[in-house]
Amino acid sequence: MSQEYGFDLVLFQRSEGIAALQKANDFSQKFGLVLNDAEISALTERRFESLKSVGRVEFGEGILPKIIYTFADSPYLMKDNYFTMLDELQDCFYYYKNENCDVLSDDEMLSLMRQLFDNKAEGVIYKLCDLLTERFCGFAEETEEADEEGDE
Amino acid sequence: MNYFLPDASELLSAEESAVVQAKLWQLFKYRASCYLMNESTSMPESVAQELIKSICFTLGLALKAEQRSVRFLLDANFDALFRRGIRVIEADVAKAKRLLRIAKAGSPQIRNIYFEDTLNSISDFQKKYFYYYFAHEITCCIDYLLCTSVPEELFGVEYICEYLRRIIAENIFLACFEVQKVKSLLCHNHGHYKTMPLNLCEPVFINALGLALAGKEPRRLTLESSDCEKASAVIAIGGEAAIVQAAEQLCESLKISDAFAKRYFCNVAASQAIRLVGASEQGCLNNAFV
Repeated sequence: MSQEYGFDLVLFQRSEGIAALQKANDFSQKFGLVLNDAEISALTERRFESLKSVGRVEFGEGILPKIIYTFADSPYLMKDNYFTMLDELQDCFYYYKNENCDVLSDDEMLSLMRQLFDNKAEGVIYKLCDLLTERFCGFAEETEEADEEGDE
Repeated sequence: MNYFLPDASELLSAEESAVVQAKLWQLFKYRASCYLMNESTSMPESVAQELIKSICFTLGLALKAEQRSVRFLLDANFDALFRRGIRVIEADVAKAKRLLRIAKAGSPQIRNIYFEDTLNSISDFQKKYFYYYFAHEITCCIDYLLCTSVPEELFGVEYICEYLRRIIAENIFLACFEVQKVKSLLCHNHGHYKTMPLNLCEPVFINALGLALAGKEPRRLTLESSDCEKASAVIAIGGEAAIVQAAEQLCESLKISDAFAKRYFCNVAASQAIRLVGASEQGCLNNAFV
């Protein structure tokens, strides 16, 4: 896409994303969760890979700072798994954003993820993914049923 | 950017291009957040592509309307330029509405379902045209073929206006002939002309052009073999220039005063020239006429 329009999206997003993550670090520090420069850089790169793999484009600073603000006080996030968890939560967010056809806003999506993550998923990412799949498949069925009822 | 702000990369250095891209990025971010009502920071790539196309198209329209070069973008306030582009689009939408009324009022008394469906679809264009976000889209179904199609570099309402101008020109041309003669010519050309995706004007124009080349009354619409021979002799001497000149004479003899229509049919004649010259050289010009 960037080449097609002579418009390098990634270039702009990268610098904005890094600055926002550094700012989010100040917040997460309160919970003993800090990303070093290498981790910030790696997460920023992973963001583009993740977006590319699900065919999405992001503008602004990215979803990672919001993930940090939403999940920083979760009992399941710890110093040792912080980087990996953020990476997986980011993947999960973009994937299920597509799966729910953008019906949920970012905030609604993160709030749902946090609620499931802390409760039924018990801080396990694959369980969270299963629950989200269940939720959105259910949502799709409900929508179809509602559409059918509407047609009638 | 390359599609709607043509030759930008040629006129701007790499540094200048980066300045324009940075401004475009800021505008895209703002437009994208408006589109998502600030509820999301990401969107499917396909939607982002359309938004960028639309922004570039709108900026390009503003530049065109103000007769400014791409270099103007270096110092321009993109938000303001975008708003001016939107105003150009709104004016064009109003123009398209007027053109549609004229096109409908001047429709030939000859039925063709593709012609009717296309005009009906253009009637709905405005309702489906979300120019704040998808200004480059052609939100209607255009199935009716023209004598010469609208250039591919036109999009959105620009395309619709140009399409309607061409339809009006063709209507003006067809109105110069007796309906029965046109119907019988079309029927001879294709028995099911009412339900086929074909242009009503082209066969009429070609025959009238042939008669003009032969120095005969174009309203007659039928060519004798002697007319074909005369037309062939004129083409053999004058080539494409003679064909275009005959189109000009044809418009004059039909008393077509509309400047766009005159220019349009000269272009149609020029686009048919290769075929007519070729047929003339092969000695089968009569096959080019109906």
